[in-house]
Amino acid sequence: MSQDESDLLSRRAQRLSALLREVDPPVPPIVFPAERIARAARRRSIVRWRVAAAIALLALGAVGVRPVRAWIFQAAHVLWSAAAGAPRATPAPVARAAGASTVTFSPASATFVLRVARAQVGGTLTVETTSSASASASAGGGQGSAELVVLPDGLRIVNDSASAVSYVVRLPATVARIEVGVGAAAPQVFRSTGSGGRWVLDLRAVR
Amino acid sequence: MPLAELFAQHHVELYRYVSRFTGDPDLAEDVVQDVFVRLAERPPADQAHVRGWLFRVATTIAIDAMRGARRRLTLLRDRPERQPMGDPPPDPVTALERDETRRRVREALVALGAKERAVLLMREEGFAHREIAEAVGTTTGSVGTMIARALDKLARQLNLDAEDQR
Repeated sequence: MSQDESDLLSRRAQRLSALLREVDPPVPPIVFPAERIARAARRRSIVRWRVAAAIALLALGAVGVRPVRAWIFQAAHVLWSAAAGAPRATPAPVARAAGASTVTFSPASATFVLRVARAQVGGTLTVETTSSASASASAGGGQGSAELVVLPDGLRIVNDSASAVSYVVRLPATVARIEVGVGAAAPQVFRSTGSGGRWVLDLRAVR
Repeated sequence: MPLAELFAQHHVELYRYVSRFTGDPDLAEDVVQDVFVRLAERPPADQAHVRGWLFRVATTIAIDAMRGARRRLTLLRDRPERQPMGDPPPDPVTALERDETRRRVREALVALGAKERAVLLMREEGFAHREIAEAVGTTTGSVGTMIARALDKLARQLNLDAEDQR
């Protein structure tokens, strides 16, 4: 930019400044929005408590799921060992004990996707619709191991093909479509019209 | 720094900037308050450059508020009895002249577009090119070009070069 151009720019800027000052409205007495800020702080505090409560509920629910419980136990063990000054050991494999296990959850949509990782040597999968607002899944009965993993749109049963564990999944009547898949087999679809629905799958038969 | 202290320090220049940017003093008052509520809710990570943050947020809120005000104006046009009543001007001739100049300045500024207008008015408030570039989301190098281009347009519309031509 040449000197002349720079001078022209400077003059224009000065004249604009003067013009703006000339037409500026007087500044009114603006009040510091203390009340609005306090209200916003109260709202934020309520939201924080709600989020904390939701996280606590999720965490409590997740504790019932074996992999999460095992992870928490293992993490606590590692932290305790570190705090106690013990040498860090390679974590032991997570034990998968047979026996009853139940998780409760709330399905997010009207379609529920239930996946069993693989067919078993024995056991059944029972799906029921009930009048309860929440859902539950339990494993028990036969020999073997299984993990119940709650997903946003359904449940995954991580099992062992040598297992003979049976599973019962109870869903609220708001779930209208239940898609059940075992291993690589094509999923079956059950349609529910309310509570009282019941479907039983032989986990050997669908192998 | 406490919020009330920041408010005391910056609300006048923010009001001036927003009333120039929007051309609506009443709207500017609301925007200034909104900026400080936003500051309380989501303060900037970098407290050292809070002034630039205030102007950037004011620009964003002002643009949104102007859209809302335009909608309100359209609705009021259909229902004139709902339009706010103002105090009568003390001196009709002076007020008329001032209103006319204000209208011309306002029209010239609006014709620039939001980004150029923000750049020019932030420069009026003494911001460095780097700070302006951060606030409007452009490069430091292009701020100078934008200012020159905006001044060129305003010079034509507001006759800023009149004395040079005499």
